[in-house]
Amino acid sequence: MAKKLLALLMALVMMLGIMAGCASDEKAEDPDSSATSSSASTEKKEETKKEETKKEETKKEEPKKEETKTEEKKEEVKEESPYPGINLDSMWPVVEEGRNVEIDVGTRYSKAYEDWWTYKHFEEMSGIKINLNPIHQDAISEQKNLMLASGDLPDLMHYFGFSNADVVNYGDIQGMLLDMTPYINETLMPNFMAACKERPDVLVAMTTPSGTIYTLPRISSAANPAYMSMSYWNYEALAKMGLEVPKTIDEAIAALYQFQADDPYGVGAANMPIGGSAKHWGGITERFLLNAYGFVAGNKGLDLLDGEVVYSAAEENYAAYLEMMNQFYTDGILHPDYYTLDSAALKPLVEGGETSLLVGAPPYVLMQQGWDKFEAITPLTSAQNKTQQYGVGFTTMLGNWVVNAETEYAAEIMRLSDYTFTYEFAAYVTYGPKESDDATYGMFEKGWVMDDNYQLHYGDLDGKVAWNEAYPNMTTSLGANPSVGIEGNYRVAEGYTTFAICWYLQTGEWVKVPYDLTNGDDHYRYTSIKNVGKYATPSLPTGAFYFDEETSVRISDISALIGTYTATEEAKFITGTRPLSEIPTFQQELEDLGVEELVGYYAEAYENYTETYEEYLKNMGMG
Amino acid sequence: MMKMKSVQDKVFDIFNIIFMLLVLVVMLYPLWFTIIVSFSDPLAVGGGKVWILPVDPTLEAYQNVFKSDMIWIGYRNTIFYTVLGTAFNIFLTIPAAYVLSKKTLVGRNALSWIFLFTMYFGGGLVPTYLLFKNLSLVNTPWVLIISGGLSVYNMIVTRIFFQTSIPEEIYESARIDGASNFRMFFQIALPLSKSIIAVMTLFYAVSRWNSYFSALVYTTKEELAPLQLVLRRILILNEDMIKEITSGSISGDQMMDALRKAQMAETMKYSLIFIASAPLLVAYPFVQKYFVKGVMIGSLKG
Repeated sequence: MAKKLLALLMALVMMLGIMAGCASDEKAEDPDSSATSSSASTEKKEETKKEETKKEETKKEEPKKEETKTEEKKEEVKEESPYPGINLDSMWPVVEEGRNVEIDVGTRYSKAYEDWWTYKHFEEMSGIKINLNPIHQDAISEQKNLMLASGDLPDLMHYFGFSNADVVNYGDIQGMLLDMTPYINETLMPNFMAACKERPDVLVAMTTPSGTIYTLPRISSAANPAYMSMSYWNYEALAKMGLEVPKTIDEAIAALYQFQADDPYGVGAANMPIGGSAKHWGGITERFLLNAYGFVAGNKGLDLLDGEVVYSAAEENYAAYLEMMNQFYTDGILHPDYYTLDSAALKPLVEGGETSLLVGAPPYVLMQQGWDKFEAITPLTSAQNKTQQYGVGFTTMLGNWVVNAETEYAAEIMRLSDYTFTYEFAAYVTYGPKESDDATYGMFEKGWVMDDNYQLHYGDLDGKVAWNEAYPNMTTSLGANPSVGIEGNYRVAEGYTTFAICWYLQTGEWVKVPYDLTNGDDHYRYTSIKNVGKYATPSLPTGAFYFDEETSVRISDISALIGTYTATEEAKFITGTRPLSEIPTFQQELEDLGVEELVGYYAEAYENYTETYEEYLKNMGMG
Repeated sequence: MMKMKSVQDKVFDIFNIIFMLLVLVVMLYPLWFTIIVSFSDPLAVGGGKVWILPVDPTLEAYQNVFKSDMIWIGYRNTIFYTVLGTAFNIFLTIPAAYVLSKKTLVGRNALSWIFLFTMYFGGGLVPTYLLFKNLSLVNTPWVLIISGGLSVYNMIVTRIFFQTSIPEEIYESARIDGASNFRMFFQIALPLSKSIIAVMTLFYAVSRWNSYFSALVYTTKEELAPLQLVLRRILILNEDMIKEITSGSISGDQMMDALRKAQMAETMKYSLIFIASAPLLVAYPFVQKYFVKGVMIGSLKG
């Protein structure tokens, strides 16, 4: 009898354990979160969070009484200043003298530092004490999920990589993130407001469907080819073969075959007309070729075709691309190891610039010699597409400056955030302070100075042009994550290079610093602007789309499945493992896997985005 | 008198030797490859030119590895966690297994079931993290020593050893002579359990040496990172360098530096694998006999 009772008790305990362990499904839209979300339900998280909140409330009883008194005082002062205790007359300091403001900041890093210049700069200038908790980038996903699950968030989460789905979930639904909307105004954040006036698309992208803002952006240059990955023609080889730069897909095909036949550099078996691989920069040469068939960004997945959102691999135009690539593979235009060569393996094959007519990635990155033979492509047309266009991506980074909803210093943090939208931050976060600012904080000898040739020099490098791993004046070595604010290339679209910001800070004038064509980096950016600039076309701004949790999960499931399937089947078609006659069958398979549903979600989001953007422009008098 | 082998025996021996040599090559080549790549030029490695011998031998990878403070910090931490952690594991496992081996223990079956239950069901990562956080253990070295204190599987193996390898009669005679339970444990059971203690020490030590996930989750401080975590961070460095390069929004010099790091990371990861595995590779031959014995030590006999 006792044994039976014991067995029954154990069975009951096991059942309870199963029920506890098998609660509602975790929303695993982020694959990296699967390790931490496999056994915790959303409801459990909320319950845990509520328990934690209750515990914290109990602990904070006494401070709360003080807060109440402080709030009463604040209300009295409020009539005088909308943000009492905050200096609104100038950028620095942020908090008025005599105040003790201390915030916890979590940030991602890839390299350990003894000191973090950027946060020291924030601390020294703002008057806010910063308790920094650096988290290595390989642990950021787990740590972020644990913090969100436990409710133990720092005041400021910098470079945590919140996706739009995270923002909707933890902001709109769970209320864990600060709604920044009340703080985004001319009084508290004039620099950010000025940037928004120049770039209204950024404000539209930051705003969730519920009309709230939970993250501040990193604003790069308006879509500009100078900072995009693309492909490059060997102009010297074209001249040797007596060919003009191809403008149509047929001309491009002819040029590639002629390069193979003529072997203008006499490299013999090393001749590989397309110096690229599927693994190299995500198959950048494929994107260039697919673009010829009307797909704006040349993506095999979601893209724009004739102004409509499509899944490229499911479209008729894609079949023409597959047939062309299959022919390339069969005839040796593509390397036989096209699908297995990675960037490291590809590099020795193209070194010297004499083995290939078309390469991907900035040429000087791919080859130490011969990069100057190459210039950026010109977009191609085809029988299916008569428009020369080249998709430029969504250049605003979101989700890397997020504030805890329960922070005591929301206004102070937002005021500090405004500094990141100044030109000074854009330069300092990358290059450090200029010499005259004397803001080294004992970490290095002197800041930078620009000479009349617009070259940066640092005081303790004996006047040499800067950039040295041993020297702390570079982005990651400064301990800064330039994932918020204005990026250095902010005015590239207007013709100003990154260094122009430094010249502006030093002299007060904007100068269009000329590109040095003997420098590989300048060379490729210059040719990109020259050859592609006028064809730059906005591509599908998926980074600005917001979906609710359920839709996010569904999108994630379909995308993962279809994306993998498309990649593998494309490889089969191109290598001939699967006959081209089965392309319609493949496209039907994509439909069965849910491609229409996926396109439907994005088409609706794109329509909403476009409407919101146009309405915003109208309200701003810019429409 | 030596038995004469028939032709068939000789043919079998030849095929057997050839087969075992092939198995040996298959098993040893990855280790050999790791060693030769770690001494080869990164470009040659990237070009797939390294097969049997190092190409353009260089010590640059090892120099870069040993230049990094993090490697030495990782080594220090791993040795610390392994020594203390293993001692903690043995401290929990041996007494638990001993008492559960006693049939006269009150509630023995219930206790055994509770232990067994934890092998299949757990609270999950988030509750565990919350537990450690509430105990103020997060971001301290003690969380990496205390967590995973007892492996139930190892405890069961040890329990079976105590049940089968030490006759009950020894305890009975000791009891007759007036020995207490503690005295029986320390003066009879422990001295006779050297082999199982050695085996369990080896199992726990290898597990502790190779672990990284607990450190990833429960610590964020760089100075607490074990060697495997440092290795992992360098292993994924290559991917991050490629991502930096492809962002297209960094300067040329930054791009070149990222590319150099990406190339060097290829050979560095092999040198790191070798460096991280070397202590265990060296120690294994000396403890191999215990390991071989240990495979069967927990099995039921007869």
